[in-house]
Amino acid sequence: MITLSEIALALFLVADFILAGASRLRSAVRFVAMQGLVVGILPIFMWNWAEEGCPGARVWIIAFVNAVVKGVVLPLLLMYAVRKARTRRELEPIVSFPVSQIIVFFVAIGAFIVGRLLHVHASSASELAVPVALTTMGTGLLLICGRKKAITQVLGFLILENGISVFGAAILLEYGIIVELGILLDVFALVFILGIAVFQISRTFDSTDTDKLNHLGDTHLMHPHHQHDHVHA
Amino acid sequence: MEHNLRNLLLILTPVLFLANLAQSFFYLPASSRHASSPHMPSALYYTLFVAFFGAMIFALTAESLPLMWVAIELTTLVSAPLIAYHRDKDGLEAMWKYLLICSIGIAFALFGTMLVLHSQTIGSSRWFMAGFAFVLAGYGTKTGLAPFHSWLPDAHSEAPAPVSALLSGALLNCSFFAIVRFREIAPAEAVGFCDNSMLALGIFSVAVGAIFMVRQNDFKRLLAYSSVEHIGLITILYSLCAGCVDVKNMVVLALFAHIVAHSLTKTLLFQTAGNLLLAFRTRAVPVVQGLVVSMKGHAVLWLVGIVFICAMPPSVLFLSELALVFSAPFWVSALVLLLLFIVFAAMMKIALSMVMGKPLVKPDILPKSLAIVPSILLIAIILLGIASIFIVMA
Repeated sequence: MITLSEIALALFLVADFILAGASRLRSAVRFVAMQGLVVGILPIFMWNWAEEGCPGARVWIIAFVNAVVKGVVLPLLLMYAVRKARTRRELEPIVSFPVSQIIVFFVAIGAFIVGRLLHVHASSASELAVPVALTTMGTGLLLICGRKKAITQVLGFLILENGISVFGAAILLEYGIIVELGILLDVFALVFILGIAVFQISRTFDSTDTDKLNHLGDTHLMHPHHQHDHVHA
Repeated sequence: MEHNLRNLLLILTPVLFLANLAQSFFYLPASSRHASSPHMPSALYYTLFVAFFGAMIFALTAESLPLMWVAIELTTLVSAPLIAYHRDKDGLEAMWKYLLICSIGIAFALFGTMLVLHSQTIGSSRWFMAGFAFVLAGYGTKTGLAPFHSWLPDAHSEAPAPVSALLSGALLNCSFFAIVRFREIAPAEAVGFCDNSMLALGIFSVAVGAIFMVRQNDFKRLLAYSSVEHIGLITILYSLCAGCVDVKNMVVLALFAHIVAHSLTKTLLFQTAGNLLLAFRTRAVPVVQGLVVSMKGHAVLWLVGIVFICAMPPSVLFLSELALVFSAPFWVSALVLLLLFIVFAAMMKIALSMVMGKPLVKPDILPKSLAIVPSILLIAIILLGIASIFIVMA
């Protein structure tokens, strides 16, 4: 029987494929927002309603805060950064869009095999959860490594984080409310600081391509004409 | 042992914090007098500096493993803006690399923490091993273990001196402690895997540190690679005595001594390097020559610091590295000795070329107050070294 949580996880997988091939940053942010909303609501879908009745306040609060922060607040912040940094598309990715989609396809196949091999918790809510979590983590890493725009790398980090959250939901891990909110706060603050950094990079370098960030290294001081760039203090 | 290590770090971290806070009071005004580039307001700097210290104490005292994760991620968040104290291109680049690389590492550590917690619910050592691998890679990134160290030289060289010193002296230890906590709860079947992977990463870090120190042209990057080397030595020492209950064990004592001595000596060196940077306005080794003529006091601080970090007696590091060589398997000792020899040769060549010779450029006159904290640290390190020799003799 197809449950609500399985539909949600299937949506997640579709979003991974789209994100791997998305060049327009605004639509990419929208799909990450959708993933964030699903991550927030997933624990409620996965809740064993028949046996355990209505979940307690803890579950509702965490689901609500997660969905609001990951599905609304962070995407709005990123939209703002996209607008401020005046970057609308990812033009010359290191790994091209079709190739990225093929990579994600193979990662998904691998994730389903791994998910079959690992016998996750007997009472795990859905067989889809672990493969989807691993595929999402793979997609996130691909976006961090295979794209040039700083903002796409931030998106990749958010996708990676979403994948980890799905994994936590899949193995029915319970940390307690303080830790859940702490993790969320960290992710929020991190994306906030990264957003500010993107803005500063675009202002200082006149570009948000991270391959401009290649000045530091172990050899540059050997060239005498570079020495004067390094006068800081 | 986890308990003792936590207590040790809870004493050591505030000492390092106070030393660097005091140095900040002298360093920042001098730095802004010399500065050409804009920098962050000092109120923000001190707020973040204190928050950084608080986050480290939080990481050391957090009882549950996920809460410790929250704290360690917090240390990244509050220390990242400190690295970009100078708001120029290089500072931004170092901060971006630090944030992104450490956050990915820390995300892996969260995944590893989940796997480890799950392994405890279902009682499977294979899940634990998978989790430990992710934890080692994740927190290893923050600890500066090679091959996950790529953020470290950039961040340590771009940050203002007191921040570099605190990153290297205190933060690396705190994130190393996170790995220790996971190793201490390993089930019996996973112990061999954990210790061997830590030993391998430790040796690799010492090797990477040694290789990049040879022909290094930037004296702050030299110190950063020296941190990679020493964190590698600490990891090797720990892998030799992990799970040991007896605290009086020679290797355990060597581990503790190494952590303390490395943190204090590295703080001294980073503060001195910061002063040299202010005086010469460059981190390039070839430009800085003839310190013994132009800046006598700093020549002594720099040379003695380098000699001590290379583990020449009476440095405490000499005794701890001796314990490592005696207690490790033969091939590990041989390899580590060879690498330490390379480190010694590389560091001494650079240090001597900076201290000796005729000055190429005339350094700016620095306020005397900048040398206060490093001098106190130098005296403390020498006294510690002499005391440790008496303790070993007795």
